[in-house]
Amino acid sequence: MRILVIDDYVEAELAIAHVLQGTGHVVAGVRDPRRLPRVLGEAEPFDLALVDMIFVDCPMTGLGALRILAEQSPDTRSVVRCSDDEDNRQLHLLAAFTFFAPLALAPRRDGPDAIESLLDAVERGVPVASGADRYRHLGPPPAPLDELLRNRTDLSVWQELTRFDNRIDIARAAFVSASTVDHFKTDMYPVIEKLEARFGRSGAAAAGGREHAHNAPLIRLAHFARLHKDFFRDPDLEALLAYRWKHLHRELSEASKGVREARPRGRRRVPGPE
Amino acid sequence: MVFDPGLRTRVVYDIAVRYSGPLWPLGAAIRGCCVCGLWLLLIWFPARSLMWAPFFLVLVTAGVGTAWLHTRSRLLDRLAGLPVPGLRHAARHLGSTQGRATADLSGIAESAGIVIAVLLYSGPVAVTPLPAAVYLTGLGLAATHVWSAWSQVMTDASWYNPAVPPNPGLVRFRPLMPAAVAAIAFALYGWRDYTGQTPPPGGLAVALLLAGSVLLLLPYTLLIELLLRSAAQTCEVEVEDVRASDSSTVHSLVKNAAHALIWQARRDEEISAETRSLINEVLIVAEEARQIVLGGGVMPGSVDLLWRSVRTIVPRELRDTVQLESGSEKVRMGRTDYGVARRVMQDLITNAWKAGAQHVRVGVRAESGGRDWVSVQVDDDGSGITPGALADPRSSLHVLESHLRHFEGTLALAAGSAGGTLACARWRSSPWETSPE
Repeated sequence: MRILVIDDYVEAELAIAHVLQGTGHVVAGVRDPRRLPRVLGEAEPFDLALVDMIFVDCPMTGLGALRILAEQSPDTRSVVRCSDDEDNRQLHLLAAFTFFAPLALAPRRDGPDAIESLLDAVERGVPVASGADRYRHLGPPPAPLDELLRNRTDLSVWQELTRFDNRIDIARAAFVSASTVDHFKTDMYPVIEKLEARFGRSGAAAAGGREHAHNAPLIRLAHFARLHKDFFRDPDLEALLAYRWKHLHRELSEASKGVREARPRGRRRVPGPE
Repeated sequence: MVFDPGLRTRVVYDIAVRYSGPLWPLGAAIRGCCVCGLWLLLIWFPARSLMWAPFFLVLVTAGVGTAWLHTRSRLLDRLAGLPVPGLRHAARHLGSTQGRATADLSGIAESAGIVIAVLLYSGPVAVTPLPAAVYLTGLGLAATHVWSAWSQVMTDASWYNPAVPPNPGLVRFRPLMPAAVAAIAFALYGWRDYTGQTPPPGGLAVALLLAGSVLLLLPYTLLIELLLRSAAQTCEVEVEDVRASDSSTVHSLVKNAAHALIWQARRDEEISAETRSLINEVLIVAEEARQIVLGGGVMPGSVDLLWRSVRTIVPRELRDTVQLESGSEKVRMGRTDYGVARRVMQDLITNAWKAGAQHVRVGVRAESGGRDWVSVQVDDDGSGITPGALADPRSSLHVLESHLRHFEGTLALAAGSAGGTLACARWRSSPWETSPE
């Protein structure tokens, strides 16, 4: 197999190349995802890409790398390879599995055996044992990411929450009304509580339901936003969300059009005895 | 410099957003008091004027009321929910103009309304006769209103927003705003004198002084921008302090732990050469992180940074014996080459000082041509490398050579110029990377 390691730490590539020495696999690497279009354009196609999520001194994240792979090399299967122990990476992982459905999550702490069994599973085409269950959404919609970021306003408010914790300041900086921030707070408390439960963190966000959320301080959401600052300010995320919202909006419009067309024309009659 | 576009940074904008928040309701309250004062002054107006004079205050009252509403988000929300189309539209408009450099409903109503209100005191339809105290109080209240409204306009956070820059036309007009407002104020306040009517009670000088006070908005804005610039500079100094403190934390937590690991590894004979190299690398990377966090002009990707970091694996008393060839420190590399060079320098220098070298010279070159290559040479006067070291799969040099092969590279060992070993590692520069700009 031809394997591409997209990681800013060269030792990550060297370690995998060392483990796979003499196995016939070819390992290549790229340190900066901005170079990825050139690599995919010039090199022979890759069978598998191991993608890191955060790159030092680079405005692009693993989401951007996965997007480029999906666009330019759709046959290359991807595996996210990064540490998921760090709280501030979890939303990036959630987005990666929501947008791109990579084969697996291969945490860095896993040793050479894990890499070998991963490649073996990929080669044989059998399901890959993965620690990604926390990040995959298998239930009915909406996906957790769609609840967290329903539209452009949500993203703007989250971005400003990384800098401000006062509703008036957030409203001014996000160009929304303060009441929009209030509604956002009420809606988002249960969402972040669910996410924190999913990620195994204790969250006391919306213990009392919506009423509690309405009266709860905004600082709780600000803490959440600051923890995930890199995620909410990720330009790749913004581009991916713009596409997703457009797509979802179109789906909803078509669904509602279908419902309208299926509905009988004229005045609705209440069925009853003739 | 006033109206410095260099102030349009995220830090300055954030400071401005924070002061704008409390200033808005305060400004609306001040202007509300001014308008209440103008209504109260009607008590001393001649009875015949009371049939029409209150209409002159309607627009400014509506404007101030709307500005106050602007600050009451929950009330605005409730109004937007009422089944009154005009009201709902207005409430939504006010909600949508938050934080933008734009003329909103309340701003237009207040600006036009205060001009109409001043016409009660000065101008072609001014009410006469008015007691001097009423006349001057009326003009004073109007001037205070203008001051409050335009000081907010001049120092609004939106002027400093780097993400959504204000309209270029508005930016050009901004320095002229105080003069334009003062010109209107002069024209209105000095009207009676221009028309040759009876001298205004209290004297024209006081009226013109009030009108001229609007020009003070320029030095006021200058003062605010000086404060903003000072605050931004203070932020930079604080960030430097935090960086220095963080670099100490990196040193205390990571480097000390790495030193403990290295100390233990030296005692443990069972540890493989690759593990030893990786343990050394922890120390080097920690030092790199410390240098980058500390700032001080080190450039990521430079041999200068790499050299400073790699020297930490050499015992302090031997560091002066390890020298970097002149010119090498200027070489800059892409991330891959930098990572490989780190590994090469670390392994070759460690081998040199372990061989008892008293002098070690290190040279780094980036060769350009048809294909780009990077080379690292380490020349020492130690006891020399054991023959067959490269062939021994347990040796660090063997692993290093294998890593170099991954980048089409080689590792050559020869007799050194001073009797020790000359080790030369050369590899093909990563084809998809260029040196950082």
